[in-house]
Amino acid sequence: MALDMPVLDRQFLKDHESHTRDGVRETAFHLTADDGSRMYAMLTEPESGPRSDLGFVLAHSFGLEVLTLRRTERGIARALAASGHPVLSVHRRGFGDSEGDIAESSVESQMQDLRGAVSWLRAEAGAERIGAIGCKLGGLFAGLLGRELAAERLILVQPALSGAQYVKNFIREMQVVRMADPDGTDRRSMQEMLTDMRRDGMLDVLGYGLPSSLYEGLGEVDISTSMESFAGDVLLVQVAKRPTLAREYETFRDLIQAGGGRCRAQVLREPSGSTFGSASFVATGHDINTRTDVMEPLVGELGGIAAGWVGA
Amino acid sequence: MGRRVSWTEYPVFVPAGEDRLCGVVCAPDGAIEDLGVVLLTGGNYTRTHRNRMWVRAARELADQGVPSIRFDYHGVGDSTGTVVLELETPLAGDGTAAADFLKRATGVTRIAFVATCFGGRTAMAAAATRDDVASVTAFPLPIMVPAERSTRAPLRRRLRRSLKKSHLGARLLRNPKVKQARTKVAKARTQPTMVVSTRFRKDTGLVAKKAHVAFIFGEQTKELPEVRGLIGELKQHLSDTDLARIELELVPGIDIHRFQTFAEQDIVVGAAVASAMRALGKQRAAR
Repeated sequence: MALDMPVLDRQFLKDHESHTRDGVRETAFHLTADDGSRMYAMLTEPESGPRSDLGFVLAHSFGLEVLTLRRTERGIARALAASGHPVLSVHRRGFGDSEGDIAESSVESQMQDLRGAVSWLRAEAGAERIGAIGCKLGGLFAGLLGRELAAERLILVQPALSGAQYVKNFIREMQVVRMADPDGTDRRSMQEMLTDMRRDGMLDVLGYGLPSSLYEGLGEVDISTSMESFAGDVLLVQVAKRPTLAREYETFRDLIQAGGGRCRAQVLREPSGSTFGSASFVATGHDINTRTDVMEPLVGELGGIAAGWVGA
Repeated sequence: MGRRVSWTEYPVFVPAGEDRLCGVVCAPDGAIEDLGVVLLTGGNYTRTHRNRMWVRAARELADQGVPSIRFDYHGVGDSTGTVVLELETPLAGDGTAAADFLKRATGVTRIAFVATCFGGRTAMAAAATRDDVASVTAFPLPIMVPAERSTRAPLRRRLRRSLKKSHLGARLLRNPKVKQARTKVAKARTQPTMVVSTRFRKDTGLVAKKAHVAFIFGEQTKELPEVRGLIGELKQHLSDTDLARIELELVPGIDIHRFQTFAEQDIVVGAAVASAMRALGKQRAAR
């Protein structure tokens, strides 16, 4: 009877932790955080050929964007890996496939996780020089990491520059959705929601937990005014409907350049039917039952821009 | 935070034809029950699902001794390839590949599918072709498609074509007043009739012949009449024994659809675990 019991085949699982395609190898594994928690990580690296000592840590965004921006992050990581650079993406504790609880998450705990990723990249992937990548709130974390480590390169895609503004918009989105809700039971003002969050320690924002500790912490971080000492290279990509660079990004670019860093700003037009960071599979024709990934061309373009910029 | 868990997760790339599906197998550290759960999303969400619902479900299942796999469809998230999500072409190959992989990795011989939205179509299509399925649990999902029309062009189009052939008819069609009238009629034309997908009805019928099928809907779910219609149609095709395997479970007072509150998410996670426990003939342990 005992012989019939299911038994885990660990070697089989180990044999499938990585794969190679188009000269790029992706390996999924776990990093161990300071407290022993396991963090999901993905190393994207060249399969063979010349390998750069410039490696990148990729920081994800927040809420639904952790899911919806992954295809874009993956595209950038693969493009850089094809150019010889190892890229390590990590799910911070309380996010994605990692262990941990979002309720215990703070700006500092998330920075610790990113520092852990940098250490791993240096020790295990031969990265002597470090760069950071991030989209939306991930861009803010990449900026903070880059500033702290004096990183050589930063790739910021439609980054949140102000943590306070990001969380405000995050909560506002819920207000808009709830306003349109036919049952109309939740019409709380921003102030009422913040009061509830502070009382309960957490706000349910359309099914995503925003802990008050994280809310307060994000309110204190702003890379639009604190990157003057950054002397590395920044690739700033705006992905939006507007054809010109937003004022806040112009100011950010000027700040980097005034401090001795370099900043290349590029504008990419969002495809119609979707916004960067929201669901990318949308019906583009009359048939609402057929949905295509409208962000796919943009992902390819972003990868090309990032690889070209790093190689320049 | 600290690590005090009774399961281990294994990140994997599942072979699925030419593609590799990025997934996570969550397995109990202790004895493994003879049932594996395949967790499916709708497609726009990656494998963790909204607010990590499938991560929670996987870990709660593992706490009960049940291994699971959550994965990204090809063309989604960390998986290779590209995909167009078409309601009538569910990604059964991906579901099948994930189920086969889970069986091979954990040694289980029976599979339960748990799915939301479009994933429900995929789950049913994959389950219909397998003989090792214990259950399919589907949360609100799209099952309606436009009724198939006659291949013959509608009367108005045939009339227009014949009018165009004559000089007088062509002039008539160019007349602004006629144009306006035609536009008015076109606007008033009703949308095509929607019917339950034949494919989904067939898949559901095939699954019900061998496994438990649970539709878990909210009392206020918009698609509720549609799934009731499906079950009504299946009454004509299935025996009483097979029909008894199909269950429509209603959650009072809510619309489980977008999973935009913690309360909705708790229901989904709880139901996912309960479905596995039921397949094992056990109660879900209190948490």
